[in-house]
Amino acid sequence: MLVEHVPQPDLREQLRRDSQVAWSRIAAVAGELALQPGHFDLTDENLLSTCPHGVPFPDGVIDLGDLSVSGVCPSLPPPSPRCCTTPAPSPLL
Amino acid sequence: MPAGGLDFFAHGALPAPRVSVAEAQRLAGEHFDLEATAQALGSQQDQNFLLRGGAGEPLGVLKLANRAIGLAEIEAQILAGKRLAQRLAPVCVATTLTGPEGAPLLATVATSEGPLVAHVVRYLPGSTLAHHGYLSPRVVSALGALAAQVSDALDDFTHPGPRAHAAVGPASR
Repeated sequence: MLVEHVPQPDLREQLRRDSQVAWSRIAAVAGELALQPGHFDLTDENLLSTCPHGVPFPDGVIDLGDLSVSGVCPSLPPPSPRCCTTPAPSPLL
Repeated sequence: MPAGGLDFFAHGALPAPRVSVAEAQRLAGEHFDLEATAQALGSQQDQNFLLRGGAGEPLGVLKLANRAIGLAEIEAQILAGKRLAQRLAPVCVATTLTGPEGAPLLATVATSEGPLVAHVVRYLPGSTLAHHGYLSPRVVSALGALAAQVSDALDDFTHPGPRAHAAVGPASR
């Protein structure tokens, strides 16, 4: 969706190819992926620090405009501990 | 969850409605009984206005949904917000405000841009994390933890509004 905004033609084409390969891999297993509803736009633009002073701390959630249903993070490679519904196992365990 | 609603990948960029401040104030008064001064807020796919009362106090945020988004999707957003507020307390959530009889401030309204779904959400004080510039590792860690809490809280949420799309994404274009 955003690739059209990449100014370098070679890089744009590379990104387009890479994304097609990535999506084809997902499409092959799409039917087996666990899905769940989610906010899907939890960026620093939609998380607030409601305390007016001191160190910012995320304690406010706005904008459910991108509420949707998509893959549960642990089902998608590579798993990221920050957005997973279940924590990734610690390498120390 | 049955299919229905908006496929963000298929739509690409979604131009937000471009209703004037004066019209936003009229809509807030006519449909939600809020006599307010409107101030345009930044928005991407929806159009948002901060509504302030006579003493300058924030009354809420009027959200005019993108014309590609229907009533069922907004209803889903309202219920999801309510659930997050219940499960994530004391985290604040911009839930949809309710009228005297407890119904959400939600309506399909006639505008200069055609019919749009409008609702009024709670105004949260403070500022977005993006506003703070540098975020320490501790804050970024808390951001990740909150994202996980949100994901957990919505895990078993069901509503016919939102549709599954990202698992097939651009392949369906």
